[in-house]
Amino acid sequence: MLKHRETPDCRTDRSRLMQRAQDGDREAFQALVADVEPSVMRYLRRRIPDPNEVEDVLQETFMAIYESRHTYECGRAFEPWLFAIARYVAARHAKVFFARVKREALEATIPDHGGRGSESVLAAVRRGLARMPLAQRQAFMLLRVQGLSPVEASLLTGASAGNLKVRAHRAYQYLKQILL
Amino acid sequence: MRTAYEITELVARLDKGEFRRSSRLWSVGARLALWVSLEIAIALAVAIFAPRGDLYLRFGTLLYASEIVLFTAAGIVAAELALRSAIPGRQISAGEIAAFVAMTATAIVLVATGPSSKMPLSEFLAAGERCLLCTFALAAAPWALLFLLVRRGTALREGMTGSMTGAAAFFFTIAVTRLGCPIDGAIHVLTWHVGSAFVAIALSAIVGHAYLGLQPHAVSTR
Repeated sequence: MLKHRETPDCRTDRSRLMQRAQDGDREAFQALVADVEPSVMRYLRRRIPDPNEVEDVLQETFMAIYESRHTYECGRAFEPWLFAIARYVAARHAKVFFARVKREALEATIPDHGGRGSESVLAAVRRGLARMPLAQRQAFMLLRVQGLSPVEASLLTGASAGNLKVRAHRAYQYLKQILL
Repeated sequence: MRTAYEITELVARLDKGEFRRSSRLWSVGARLALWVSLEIAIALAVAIFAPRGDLYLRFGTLLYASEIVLFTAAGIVAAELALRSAIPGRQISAGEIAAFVAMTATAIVLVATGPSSKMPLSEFLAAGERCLLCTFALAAAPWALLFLLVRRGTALREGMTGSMTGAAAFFFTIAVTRLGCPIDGAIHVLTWHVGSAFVAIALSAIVGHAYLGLQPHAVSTR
């Protein structure tokens, strides 16, 4: 049985839920996540340039909230605390995103295929896909061909979202090498 | 809107199935009091065991007393800002930074208007080396303690929090070393006391950037 040290300063429902979460109450944290998730999602949608990645950033934000839960002071408003963390995670993600876009824009300047027709390119891609490890092929097909978000692909495959991104990128690099 | 099942799954992935109680952060006031206690103990130790010969006489001069008071205040303010900046939603405002910079600048101007002492280069370097070592030795424990106290929180502007941590420890130490250092020359104090503090603040910002704040995570499935 958990004992909650509720203080008179904890006036709002969210403050009380967070206080219980600090005391180790998982149900309280679940209720809090369910309560704030729509507003955090809306907030992130306005700040994340790639809509496919909003879900990832949302999870990253809840991870940060979970890990920083001890820093919430019950006497203070909950929302500034929550959105300060969301803003930080979104800013960090945006930084990584723009660095990646810049890198991919450079990589996308693939030189001419030396007169190879589209059919031979397609055949080369097929050969490349057949040769690469199954896990890489699966990640590439899910993320780059079918356009699933890493989280959706993660739920399908059981691999972590980060792992899938790495595998898809390796597959992409491998195909690029074949086509050059 | 997510279903209750999806929320449960999400939380399960966040905590990997183990939802632990988290010990709450001590208040900024409590942590600040702990840090100031250590600084006062160090200042008392210097004043009792290694004071400059004319310490009590020098306290009678407005310039010297103001320098000590301003650097002490700057150190305490910086410590408060560092501790507060590691709490999400309580970041330092531009006005607070401006006020802190103004206070520090005033203290430095007071040092610069101090007496000019002419000494040979070799003596200047030898005395400076002693003061440099003393500054770093006296600031090491307060910096480490404050860094640990700040690290208990979550710094969202890591570099800024790191530099404030450095500023707190080293500005307070400027005041402490002035209790023991017999040289009042403006060039000596600016170079070896204030200058070394600024180098340390820059290093502290780098360390803060690396070790404070949240680490990025890939959310993994169980």
